[in-house]
Amino acid sequence: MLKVKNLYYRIGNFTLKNISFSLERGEYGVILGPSGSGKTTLFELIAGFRTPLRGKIYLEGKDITDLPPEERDISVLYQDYLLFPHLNVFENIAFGLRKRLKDPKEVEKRVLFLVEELGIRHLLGRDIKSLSGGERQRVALARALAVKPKLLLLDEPFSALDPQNRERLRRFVKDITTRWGITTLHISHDVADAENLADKVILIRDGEIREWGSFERVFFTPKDPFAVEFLEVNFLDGVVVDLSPNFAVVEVCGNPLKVSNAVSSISKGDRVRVYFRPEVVRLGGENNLPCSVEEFFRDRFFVKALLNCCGREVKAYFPFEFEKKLSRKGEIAISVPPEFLFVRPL
Amino acid sequence: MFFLKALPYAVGITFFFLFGSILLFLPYGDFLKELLSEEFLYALRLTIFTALVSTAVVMSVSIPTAYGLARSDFPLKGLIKVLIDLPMFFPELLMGLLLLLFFSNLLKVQIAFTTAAVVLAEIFVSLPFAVKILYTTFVGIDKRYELVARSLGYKPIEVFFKVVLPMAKDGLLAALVVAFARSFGAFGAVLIFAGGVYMKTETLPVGIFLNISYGNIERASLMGFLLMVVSFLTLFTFERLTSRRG
Repeated sequence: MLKVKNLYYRIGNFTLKNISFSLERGEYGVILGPSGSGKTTLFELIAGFRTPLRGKIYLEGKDITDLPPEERDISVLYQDYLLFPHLNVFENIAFGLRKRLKDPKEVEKRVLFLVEELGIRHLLGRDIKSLSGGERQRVALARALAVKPKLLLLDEPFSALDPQNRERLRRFVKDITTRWGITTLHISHDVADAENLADKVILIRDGEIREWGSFERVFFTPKDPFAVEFLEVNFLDGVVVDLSPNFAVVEVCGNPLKVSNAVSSISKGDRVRVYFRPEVVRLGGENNLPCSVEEFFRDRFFVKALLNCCGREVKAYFPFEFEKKLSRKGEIAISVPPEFLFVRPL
Repeated sequence: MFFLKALPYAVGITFFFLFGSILLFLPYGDFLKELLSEEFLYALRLTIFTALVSTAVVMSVSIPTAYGLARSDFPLKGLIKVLIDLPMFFPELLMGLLLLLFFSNLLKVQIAFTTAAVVLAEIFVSLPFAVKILYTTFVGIDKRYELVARSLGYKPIEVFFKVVLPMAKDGLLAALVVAFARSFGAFGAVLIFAGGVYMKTETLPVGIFLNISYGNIERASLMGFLLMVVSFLTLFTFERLTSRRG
C-alpha cells in the first residue's frame, strides 16, 4: 500500500503542505484538482524526482522518502508518453527489463507476454514516430508495467486523446490495473477520470488536500466548500423531524425529504445538510421539492438545468427529451430517491 | 516585390564569383608538385593533427559542460554561461593575445610557439561554439525522458549514456563538425599564440598568410581552396543535420 504522511514541499512561492492520504494495495486513486493546484509536484515527490522538505512516503511498509527514483519500484506514465525516440516499440518496452533481467531470452519472453496481454503485438518492431496517440499510450503502459512496479503513477494519461480513444483507454487501463492488482495513482484535472476509475479520490487545491476518501464519500458527501463546487454536489439545509434506524425525514423549507444514508450520525431535531448529485435528480415523483428554473442548456445528450430550490442553486441533469418541459423562470417539482440522499449534521 | 527576389540573387552571385576567383589562381601547371610540396604537406598534416586533437578535447569538455549548464542550477550560472559564450563574439586575435598573456606572462609556462600552442589556441577558439550547440541540444531534450528512465531502474550516469546521448545524436554530430571546422580554420589565435613559424607552427590558414607575405599567391590559393572545400563539407553536413532535426 501507499501511505503519504504530512508531506511538505516548497517551490518558489508555491507550497505543498500537510499532504496525507493512503491507498490500499491494488486500489486505484485519482488525485483531482484544477491547474496549478500542485498535482504534478505531488506526483514528482512520490516518484522521487523531488525530495520533500518534511513528511514521509511509505510504499508497502517501506520508507521510500529518501530513495532515488530507480530504487522505488514506481513506474511513471506521462500524458505525452515520452517513448524513447531512438528505440523501436520492442526496445522501449524492454528498456526497464534489460536492467533487471540479464538473459535476453527472458526479456523477449516477458515483452511478448505483455504485448499479447495489451493487444499490441502487431506494433513490435514499429518506429515510435509511426504510432498513433492511442498506440503510444499502450506501448508506454507496457513499458511501465514491464518492470512489475509496486505503484503505477499516471500523470494526465488521457488528456492528449480524442474523446473516443479516451473512453476506450480509460476502460483498458482500469481493466489491466484491476486484473493485475496494481496499485495506481492517477493525476487528473478531469472529474470524469475520477468518476470512471477511482476507488479513492484525493482532491487538491492550492497545495492542500481539501478532501480525500472513497469515491462514494468524496463524490456524494464532500465537506469542503471547494469540493462541493468542483464536484458539482448539491446540498440543502434542513431539520430532522423524524428518525428511524433506516431512514430520516428532513424538513427542507417546509418540504419533508426522506433520507436513507448516514442516518446513524444524526438525532431528531438536529440541523443537517442533505447532499445529492445532479445526476440523481428526477422530475416529479415522491420525495419532491418545488424549484424554479434559472437556466438550462444541452450538455451532450442531457439537459443541464440550474435550479433555485429553497434559495440555493441546485444543478440537475435531465434526459434530453425533458427539454420541452422546462422553461426559464418556470416552476417545477424535482424529486430525489431516498437512497441517493446523504445527510450530515451541521 | 522585385527587390526581395533580386537582392538575394545579387548577394548570392557576388559570393559565387568571390569564391570562384580562387580557381583562377590555382597552380594548374604545377598542381601535383605544389600539392606534394614539403610545405603544403607539412601544413596539411599539422592542421589535420591539431584539429583532430583539439576536437577530441573540445568534445570531451563540452559535452559534460553543456549538460551541466542545461540540467543543473548553481550559483553564478548566468555569469559562467556568459564567460563561455563571450569568445564567440571577440576576434580570434584577442583570444591569441589572452592565451599568450595567461600562459607565458602569468603562468610562465613555456608553451607559446609550439605545436601544443596551436592545439590550445584551436581548443579555445572552438570550445564556446561546441558548448553552445550542445547546450541548446540538451535543453531541447525533455528532462522527463530521464525521469522515466530512472523510474525504470537506471542510475543517472546510465541514463546519460542510454537515453541522453542517443537522443542528442544530431547535436553531438553538429558540435563535432563545427568544432573540427573551427579548429581546422583557426588563424588569429594560432598566429599570436603559436606564431607563424614556417614549417613549425604552420597550419593551412597560417600558410596562406605566410605565402601571401612571400608573394607565392598560387600556393596560398591552393591552401585556401582546400580550406574552402572543408568549409563547404562542414556547412553541408551541418545543414543536413539541422534540417533532419527540424
